[in-house]
Amino acid sequence: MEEAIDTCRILIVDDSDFSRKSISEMLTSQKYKIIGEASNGAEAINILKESETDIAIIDIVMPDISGLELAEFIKHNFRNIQIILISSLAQENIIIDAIAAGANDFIQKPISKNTLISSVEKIFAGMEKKETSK
Amino acid sequence: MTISLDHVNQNHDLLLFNNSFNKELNIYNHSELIKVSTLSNITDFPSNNNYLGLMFNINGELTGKIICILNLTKEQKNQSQLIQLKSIFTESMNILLGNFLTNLESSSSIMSVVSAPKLIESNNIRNSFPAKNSNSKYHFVVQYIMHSLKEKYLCDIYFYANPKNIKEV
Repeated sequence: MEEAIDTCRILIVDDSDFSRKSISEMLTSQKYKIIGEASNGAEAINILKESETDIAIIDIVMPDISGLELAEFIKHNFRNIQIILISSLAQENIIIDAIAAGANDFIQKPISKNTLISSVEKIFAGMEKKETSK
Repeated sequence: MTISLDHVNQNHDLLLFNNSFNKELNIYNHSELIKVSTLSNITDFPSNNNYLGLMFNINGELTGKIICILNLTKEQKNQSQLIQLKSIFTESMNILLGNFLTNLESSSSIMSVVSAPKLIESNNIRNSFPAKNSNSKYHFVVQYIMHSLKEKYLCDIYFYANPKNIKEV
């Protein structure tokens, strides 16, 4: 039986450095490790190739590769990574697109700390259950 | 409240837009936006370089652009402070406009999205504005105060848009 994961490894992808830093601040805890921050899809993919990641928090609206495209890419190429998509836009179509892209959760900005942690905890708990049941 | 873009009642639409702008937004406890005006006519534009400017495109059932202007205080800022302020302002406006369009869709079924922002060079801000307000069926300005970095900044949001089927002249 493999060891259970005890630290959640998180990648933050957002073209706003203010947003990345703010999200990182919210996740300052021994339970979470921010393995990297990326300002675009290409940077994110490079980080994912180098670092073990459990959860990617990805902004939808970014120049060049959108967060939706990045999420789909991750789901195809890094199947174990769970995804939280974030956006200031939260119309029904956006949320449907987020789910279709493979997101495990969607959070509208501005993000509250409680909402973010609740989402990360829920997703991570689901991952740990899968690990211990192997 | 529903709206038909084919049979427009201008005042009704503007009321809808006004009510879709959040009165207050807290942005990660580092910035707070407070609405300080209702929608009003656009009568003047920034005329000097003491501003930060952003442009967003709107696409969907409304097409057009939104220009966000932050009035820099007279206090001189070093480069590092300016970079930090630009980043906070950009994300704050992104969140404000995303919430506006989400609220608008919720109350009217008008579905539109906003692009990633583009920074406008300070010496090019005036040129970013359309030559004529009347090229856009909907044009207005709304004001917010942004509290951040222990200061208050006045922000003007200029909105220019047409329903999808009306082309800009």
